[in-house]
Amino acid sequence: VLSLVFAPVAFFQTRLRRPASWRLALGGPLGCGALALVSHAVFSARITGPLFDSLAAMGMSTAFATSMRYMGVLNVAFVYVLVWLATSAFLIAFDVLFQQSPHPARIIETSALAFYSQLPWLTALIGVSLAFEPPPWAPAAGQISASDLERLKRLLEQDQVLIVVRTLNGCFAAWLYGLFGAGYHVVAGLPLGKSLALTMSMFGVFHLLSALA
Amino acid sequence: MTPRLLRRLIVANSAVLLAAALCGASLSTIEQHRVRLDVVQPSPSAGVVASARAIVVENGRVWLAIGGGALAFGAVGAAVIATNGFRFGMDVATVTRSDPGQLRFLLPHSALEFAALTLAASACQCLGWRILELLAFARRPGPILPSLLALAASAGLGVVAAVVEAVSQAARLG
Repeated sequence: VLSLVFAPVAFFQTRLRRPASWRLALGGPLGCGALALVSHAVFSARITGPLFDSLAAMGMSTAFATSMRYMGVLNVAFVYVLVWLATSAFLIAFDVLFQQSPHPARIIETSALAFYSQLPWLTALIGVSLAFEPPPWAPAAGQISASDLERLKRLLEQDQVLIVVRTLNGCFAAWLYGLFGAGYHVVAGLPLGKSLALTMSMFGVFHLLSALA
Repeated sequence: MTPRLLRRLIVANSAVLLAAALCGASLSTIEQHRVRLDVVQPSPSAGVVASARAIVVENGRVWLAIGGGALAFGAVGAAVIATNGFRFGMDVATVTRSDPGQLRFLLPHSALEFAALTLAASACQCLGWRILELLAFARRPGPILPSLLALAASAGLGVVAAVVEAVSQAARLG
């Protein structure tokens, strides 16, 4: 795993000389999903805590909102698997159209292995989430209004810890896409610069789509 | 005849749905959630037809997301089933504990909706596998017609579920 950090191309070359290990490969996206599940469960509990406390103080039930919160947390855990499969599908389609490498199925393996690079950050994120203190917020009047929710949203957008987390998330995601490029370069023999340009443009498109969403 | 792969995927997705719903129900029981349904009123609808139309649009969005997810080998379908199943299990357990009589407004359309979701997800995963067979493994892919038929059937079920939900909502509002 360390060579994935310091010499990714050599790492993928070594892996490709061995038979495909799908269990090892699956460990990457599934491990990321599991760690993201924990950190997001803690973050969402802390962020929505004051809101749910206010609702409870008003005598309102938070049962349905809680189930929706858990659903959101579960969705985050699936994101890594979806990114892995969508990226693999895109690279395989590109490969079939333009490169015709002898073993396109290995693209799925190298893409999955790249996710091991995210594990240290996602582990650290659990620590950050446990230490996170949400910005102080309480509804202005006895009832939660749209402006109260808008204020909470603004506070969360301006929170220093969350800004750092979002920035680092973006940096690690960019690194992940860089590793997809290194893996594809090794599997398909496309020059490293072009492979990186391909996967980084994918990163740009996905980023743009999520920003638009 | 349904091909073996599609059948297996339907069974696997049903198992995921059941497991997710059980997890959700267990969590609701552990956390002892309750809800007063007399204060949780759905927004007044403009009528069964308008309400059904709005629900068809919502169901259609989910169906399109699952269909588009075929390009990611159908993983979106599994994610939708697991997350919605979890939430459904949690909400059903909460309603059962609070006011079991309300389940008659919740279960009929939910059963149809989840049948549609499971069918759509399985069909898309099957199609995703066929694409993978063709592109990555350079094998002759299996038949795709049953998956396309299953996808069409799931769309039909989604429409029926929307109508049932609109009728249930109208009945609940009295």
